[in-house]
Amino acid sequence: MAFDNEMKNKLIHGTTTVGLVFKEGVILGADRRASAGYLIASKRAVKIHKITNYIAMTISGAVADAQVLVRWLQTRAQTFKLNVERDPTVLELVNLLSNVMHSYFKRLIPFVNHFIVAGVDATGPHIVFLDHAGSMQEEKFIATGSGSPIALGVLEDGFRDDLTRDDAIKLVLTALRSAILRDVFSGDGVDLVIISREEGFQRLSPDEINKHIKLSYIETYT
Amino acid sequence: MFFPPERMATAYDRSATLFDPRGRILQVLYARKAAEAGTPSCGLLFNDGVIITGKRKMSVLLMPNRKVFQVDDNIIATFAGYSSDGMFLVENAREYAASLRFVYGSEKPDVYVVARYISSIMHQATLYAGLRPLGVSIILGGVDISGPRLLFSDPGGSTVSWRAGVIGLNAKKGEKFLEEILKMNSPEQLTFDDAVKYAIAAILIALGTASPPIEIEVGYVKRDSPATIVTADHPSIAKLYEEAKKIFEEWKERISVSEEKEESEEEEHS
Repeated sequence: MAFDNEMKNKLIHGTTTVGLVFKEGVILGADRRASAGYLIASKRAVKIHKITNYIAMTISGAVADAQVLVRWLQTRAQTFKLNVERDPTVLELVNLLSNVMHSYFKRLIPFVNHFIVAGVDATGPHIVFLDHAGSMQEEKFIATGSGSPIALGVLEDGFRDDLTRDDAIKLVLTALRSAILRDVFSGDGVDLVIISREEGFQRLSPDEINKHIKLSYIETYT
Repeated sequence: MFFPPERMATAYDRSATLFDPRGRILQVLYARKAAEAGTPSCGLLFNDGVIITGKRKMSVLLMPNRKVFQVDDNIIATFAGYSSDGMFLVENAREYAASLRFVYGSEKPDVYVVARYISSIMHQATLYAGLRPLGVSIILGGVDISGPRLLFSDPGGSTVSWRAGVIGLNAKKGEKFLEEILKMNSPEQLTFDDAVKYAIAAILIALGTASPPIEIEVGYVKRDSPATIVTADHPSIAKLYEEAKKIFEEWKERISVSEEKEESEEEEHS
């Protein structure tokens, strides 16, 4: 279907985001390039958003669509937390988001995005992939965006069930690096977020990321 | 149709959309009465934020109930009166505060705007036949871009900004105490510890007994930290509760002495 191909092309433009489950929780990584065709529209785009203290999501695809959905999900999570008096689980939030995305998809005005929703809740760490049609798939590791085929290859090779925090960061950085080096629409540095049961949502500072890059013997990002 | 004169006078309370000849809406007054019969709650501004205290319903049979509610990261609320009406308003306030986040991206939704929204719901119920006024008074407290705010809404739909106030049973007694306090210190001079003490003491004074700390709920929002709601037996509050109890005992004595004086003076006059 022509519609499908068009959609696929739109989705694939821009971005590499990755997420994986490790021993203590989940880790999310993303590049910082926002592209508009062959123009780099921004070199400091934020693609990992905090939803609650224990849940975050990465965005790829149409920025406007994504940002509205993120904002909407943040408000839903907030009222859920206050009314139910507990944090929502990852799957509850993904379901909610999926319902919206599916209903707009069926009305032929879809949100042109792929998301990774990740976090730690009472049932453990979760990584869920969500596409523009509303399908959701829980994974141990996943990548989205134009650089995802490259990043997925690295993750497939390096992923194990018992990754430590440092190993997990290293794997995510390696996957992002490969994508950034080979994908035109990804680049300009990386963003990392770690969510653990003990410490909740933590966005790594550039210094911390650089430290890990040095540890991982990765010298430069181009 | 013929009504005897007394019957005529009371017929004005049949609808919440009807003024009586003296210009009052009786159903709203009755709703206010319902609110005044609720368990007391207190709100108080201090130099770094706002405090709300309330007495929760406790019994051996009951699971712990709440009296102070979080509306958003920077807003807390409490109510006195029908708890179903109160919860309805609190849930609406939460939705509205969240919508302010969504629509304007506000990091700290404006307390006054949320309070106005709550009041407008209460006001609606005084405008249309078939609705009944909500039988609650509600306190909304929080810190927004303009600083600490404390707002009181009543069944008539008014929103009033206060420095300190009490709602529910014997609110007047509690407010008399707070008046004394605020005559000596403006909210800008009150520290957090003082404010917690006075806010708890005001509740105890309204209750007339020193309820155990587990029954007193304390919520506060400071300028730099999000809302916190704990019971008075929480380690950070427990000491202050004991001091509040002392203040309450002293006040009780003072009041009973002054009441005796008044009585004896009356006797002398007569």
